[in-house]
Amino acid sequence: MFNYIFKRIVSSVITLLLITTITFFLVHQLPGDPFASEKAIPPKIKAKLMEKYDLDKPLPIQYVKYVGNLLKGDFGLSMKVRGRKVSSMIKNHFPYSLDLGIRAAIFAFFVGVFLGIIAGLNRGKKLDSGAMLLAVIGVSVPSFVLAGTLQWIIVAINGKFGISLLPVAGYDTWQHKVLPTIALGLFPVAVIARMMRASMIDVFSQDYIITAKSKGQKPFKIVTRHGIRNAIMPVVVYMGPLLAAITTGSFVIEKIFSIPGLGRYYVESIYNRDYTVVLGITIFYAFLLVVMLLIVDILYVFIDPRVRLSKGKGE
Amino acid sequence: MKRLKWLLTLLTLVLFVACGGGGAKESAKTKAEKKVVKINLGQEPGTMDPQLTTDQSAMQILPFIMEGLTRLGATGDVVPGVAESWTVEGNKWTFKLRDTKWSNGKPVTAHDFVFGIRRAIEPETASEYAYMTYYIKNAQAYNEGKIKDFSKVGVKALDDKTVVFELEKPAAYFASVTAFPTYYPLNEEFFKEKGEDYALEKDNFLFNGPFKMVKWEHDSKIVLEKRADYWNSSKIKLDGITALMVNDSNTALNMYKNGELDIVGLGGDQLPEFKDSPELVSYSDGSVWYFEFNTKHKLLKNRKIREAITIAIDRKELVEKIKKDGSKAAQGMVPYGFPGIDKGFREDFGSELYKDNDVERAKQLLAEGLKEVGHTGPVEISLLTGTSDTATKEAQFYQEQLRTKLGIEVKIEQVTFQIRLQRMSSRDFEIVLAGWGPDYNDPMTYMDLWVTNGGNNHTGWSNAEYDALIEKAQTSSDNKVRMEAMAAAEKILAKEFPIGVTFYRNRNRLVKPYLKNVYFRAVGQETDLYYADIQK
Repeated sequence: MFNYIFKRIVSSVITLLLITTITFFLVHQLPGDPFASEKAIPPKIKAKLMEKYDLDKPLPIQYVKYVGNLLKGDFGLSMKVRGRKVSSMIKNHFPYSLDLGIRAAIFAFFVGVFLGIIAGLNRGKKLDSGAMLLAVIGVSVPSFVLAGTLQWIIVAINGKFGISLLPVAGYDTWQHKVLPTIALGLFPVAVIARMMRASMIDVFSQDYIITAKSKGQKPFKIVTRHGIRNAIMPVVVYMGPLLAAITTGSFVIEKIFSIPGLGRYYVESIYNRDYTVVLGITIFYAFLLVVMLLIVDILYVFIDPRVRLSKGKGE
Repeated sequence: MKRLKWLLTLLTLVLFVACGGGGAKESAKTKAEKKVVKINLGQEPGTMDPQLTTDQSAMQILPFIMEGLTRLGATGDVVPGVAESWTVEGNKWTFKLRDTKWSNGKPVTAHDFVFGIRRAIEPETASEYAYMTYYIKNAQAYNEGKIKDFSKVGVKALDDKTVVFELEKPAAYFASVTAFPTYYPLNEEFFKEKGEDYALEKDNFLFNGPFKMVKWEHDSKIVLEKRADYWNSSKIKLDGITALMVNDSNTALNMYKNGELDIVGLGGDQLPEFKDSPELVSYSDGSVWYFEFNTKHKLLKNRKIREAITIAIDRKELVEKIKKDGSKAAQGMVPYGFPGIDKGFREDFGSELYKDNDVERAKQLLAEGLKEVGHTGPVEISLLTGTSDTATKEAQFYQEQLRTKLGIEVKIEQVTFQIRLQRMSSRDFEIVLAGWGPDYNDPMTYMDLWVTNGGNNHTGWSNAEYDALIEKAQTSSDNKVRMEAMAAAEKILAKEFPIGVTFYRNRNRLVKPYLKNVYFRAVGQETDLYYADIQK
């Protein structure tokens, strides 16, 4: 058991190191450099800048230096936003992505499960079609279209009634967080609703439901005690990867709602050839994912005895 | 079943409400009492450090919170800033300072100005805009490490209230240059105390402008508040400015409609909706757009072929059907709105330096040119441009124009900003669509681009006569001589065609009707709120 966990940790560290190495060399292969600008910089000044950020040295030496600093926990300085530490960028901006991601995940969980239950219990009826129509929209409409439409609706309502129902962008008050939560959460809502519906239908064809019915239990109790509790398991499993995906930030949603999350930085840093930021965020995300996977793997061992057996012996 | 439904609805509601505060009500109240203008910066400044900054966002904020010896007035003219007056004797400029204070209560002195410039040119600062100081005697040599002794650099504090500059050569527009952020004062004591963290956060900043920063949430917003101890504070009507960083143009427009922004920029696609709106303000942003020809290319080395391509374009159709944003057709390097001898450079020297949409002449020139270079068969040329929608539309327009009018097959190459810059500087292109915006309020900011081996001259073109005229305009202090030299130089461009200018860009903004006296400028800070007022 301990052996297995130890092996998983070692392989996680190796994964991280590989990701760092590959990203480092790939990002330096991109044409252009962080100091390119529309107006030419005198060569002497440019040379100074390159020297300041070690870019004048051969790539392998830069790599060794970078990894050395990384092991000391130093992510370096951004090259585009001069003077700003990459670690403080992550510290400042990740909480926004995390906050929005958690809200969207909770929203998706409750709304998705609710729709799924309604649809599953009313299979083939109007309520089922309605809920599934919503699910299809959620899956097929891209989030930027949805986000723009939500803003447009709010602007129209506010304009028509001369009120300020909700602000359309920013991330200060709870009112600001409503639209982005819906926009980011609708896709997982749809996924969860369909998952829950299928699962409900499956569970309700099981023998123990028929037994419960024949025992004369109340329909409400059957649904809550026997139906939902069993049907919700696939959804709970799905929440893990969903949380990981959703909290690392959505570039589109963050851009449209003007939220200073990390997702936006990530994309922009690549355009800007801001090497240290690209690397820093990649490593941070990789770390998050590796840790989550590790936790899931370890939990599996505890939850499912079959995993413990096969993995313990096989490797 | 009903109970479950109720429970779930409740939980969803709790999700939104639980984490809230009373923030909305509070801000609604303060809004009514205080005159605060909400503008959009578009993005987080690369750095707000005046001696290091290069980007538009910082250039927009800095003149609110800092002030140089001079500042740019409503129309881009030079007005006194910290300096109440100045005198010029040949290469020597003497600025007299008024009594002004930093936001920590200490006086702003001549030494602060000298220290700011010193920091900008210290080699280890590695400031990209250090070359804005190269007008000053020995500043370039010091910046490049050729001189180690700063006392040899031509900037001195005679006393607490007098700054003297000795320039390399007379520069008639030097007063306008001192309004540039690189020339902002820097308090040595404060700077040394903050060290590496200087200007990274609001508390590591010392302000001497009409406003001070009270909040800076990176990539989200900057909140400014009026400074009561600013020397001219009685003229400042606003209580504050909130600058948001919204970089999606549709979101910004929605925010404007929703009352979350007071001024918003409009893209070409958004413009039609507001064509007749009284809130629409249209102005030239000072940028000029042109073909840059690779004059070492086997066909484009020929002057006649370059001219043929330039004059074949129908600029009227370009600005009316493609740009649709009020941009003006252009047949000369310097845009409207820059000083000349009488009215303005463009007005004084005429605006049509070469033909437009002259297909007959273009055909003839192309035929002659091809003969001269000995080219037979189809003509194929590549056009390098960016990846934006605007770039695509323009490139396709030029492609169609040259194909139908001259039979030239144009291959459009769209690359990202970084790659385009790299290919321009290594002259790895045939024609590139490029543009230029002004650094200071003088035609020279455009004209010195095309000198031999100029840092931004990617064409490979070199002309001794042109170089001599620019040199003459740079060194003369007689305005008439300078302007005429630049006009003559511009005529050479219009004869030799290392570039083919096509249009001057326009910008469009919506401004809320209660916001008065807002000025939009081509040079420096784009949205000037110095004189602005809210009258509801």
